[in-house]
Amino acid sequence: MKYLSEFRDIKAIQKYIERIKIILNGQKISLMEVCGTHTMAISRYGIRSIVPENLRLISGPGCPVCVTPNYYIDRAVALAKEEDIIVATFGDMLRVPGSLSSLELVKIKGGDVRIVYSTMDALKIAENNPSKNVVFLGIGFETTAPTIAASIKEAKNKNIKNYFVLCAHKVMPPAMKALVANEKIGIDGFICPGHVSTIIGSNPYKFIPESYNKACVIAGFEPVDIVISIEMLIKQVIKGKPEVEIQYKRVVKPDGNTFALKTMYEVFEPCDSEWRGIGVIEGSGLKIKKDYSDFDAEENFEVEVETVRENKECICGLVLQGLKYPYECKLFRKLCTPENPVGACMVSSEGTCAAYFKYSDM
Amino acid sequence: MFNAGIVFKECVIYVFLLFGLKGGRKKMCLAVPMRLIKFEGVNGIAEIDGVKRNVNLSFIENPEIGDYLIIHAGFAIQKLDEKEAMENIRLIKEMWEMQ
Ligand code: SF4
Repeated sequence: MKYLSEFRDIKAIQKYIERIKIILNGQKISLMEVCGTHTMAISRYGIRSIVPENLRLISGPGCPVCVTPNYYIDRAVALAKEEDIIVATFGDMLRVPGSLSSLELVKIKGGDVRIVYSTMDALKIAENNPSKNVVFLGIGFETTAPTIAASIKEAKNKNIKNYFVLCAHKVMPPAMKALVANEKIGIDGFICPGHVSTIIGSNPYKFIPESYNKACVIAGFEPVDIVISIEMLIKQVIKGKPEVEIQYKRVVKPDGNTFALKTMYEVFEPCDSEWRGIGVIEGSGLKIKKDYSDFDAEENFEVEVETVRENKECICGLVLQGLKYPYECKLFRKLCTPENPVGACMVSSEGTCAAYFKYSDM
Repeated sequence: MFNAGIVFKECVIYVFLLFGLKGGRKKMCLAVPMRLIKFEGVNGIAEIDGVKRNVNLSFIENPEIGDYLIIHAGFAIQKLDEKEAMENIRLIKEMWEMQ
């Protein structure tokens, strides 16, 4: 594969780790990553175990499925139970437990739930099933939202009237603001998300060094990318000169992807949004604009949703904020496993609990 | 001087990385770029290691056959900037050679 071996070079990683140790010189620093693919990469490559102990790597709310609150899952489940509705979704939503059920259970009982790889596949399902209504579950951050926006625009262009989106998209910078302002977490810098930044660029993070004096580096996903980014971050912290730097320059440009952004903001507008465990964060969500309300599942379907219930033992909300580690949860590895997940953080392949389960012996 | 503690720690690091890297290769992570082999309008086909995927090119300015694309949920979200990739690699190699 193109360039892959260089970015997985063990000797280079070891050298960077040695340098990190020297630069840190015993100072305690905490860095948070807010992207599920980074969470997985850091766990998979064992990076947490090779950095010096005084460098704390915390996982934040980077997994879209994990931050989606129960009431959304309950609503999706209620829609999937309807005779004339086909629910189309990315695969990782299927097993997320809602208050009383999951999409997987509804599917087993005969509900029409279909897994798609792209929103355009969901649109095809709508075209091929004119007597049914297709509801696509629109969750994800700025990387995914433009692709859902593109499908809504296409549905309008093609005059497809049976395609709807149940929208719970989220945007990352307002969540980072809430996290950085929380002194209990104590973040010195962010390993900024590579793919979200591919879309939004580096400018939306500027408030972090400017208003909060914290470091930001947009990182790639290979192990060498991650250790280089850690080195860049601790240099910023130690020098006391925080800024937004891009390590993943081979993909991320300062202005992001303007075509994707334009599509996203043509269809969606910002709104307040609830994050599992964190609560409502101002301006952290996207909702469908009035012009496209014909495609908004929220506007077009009345369904009875069960009373929202949370599992009291699950500390997913604290894990998502980096306030607790998965192994501090009583259920971790005992009652909660990827086969039998109790909380969302164990279901998604990008969830912090799933990452710890798979790659850590704690 | 031989220091058993340090040698042991280095071995642990090596084993960790090796496992990580092997696991990483098996999985087709969305962070890995795919090569555009065919396209018509906004619909293209991208390939990696013989695996082909349909890819929507609406967000890519002037796509060309042979471009390496970052793909997310069936859409190309950026072209890989080869000049920047080479610069990354130059820095990694420099690090390699440093004593
Ligand atoms: S281990 Fe399971 S129950 Fe515990 S916090 Fe994680 S997802 Fe929730």
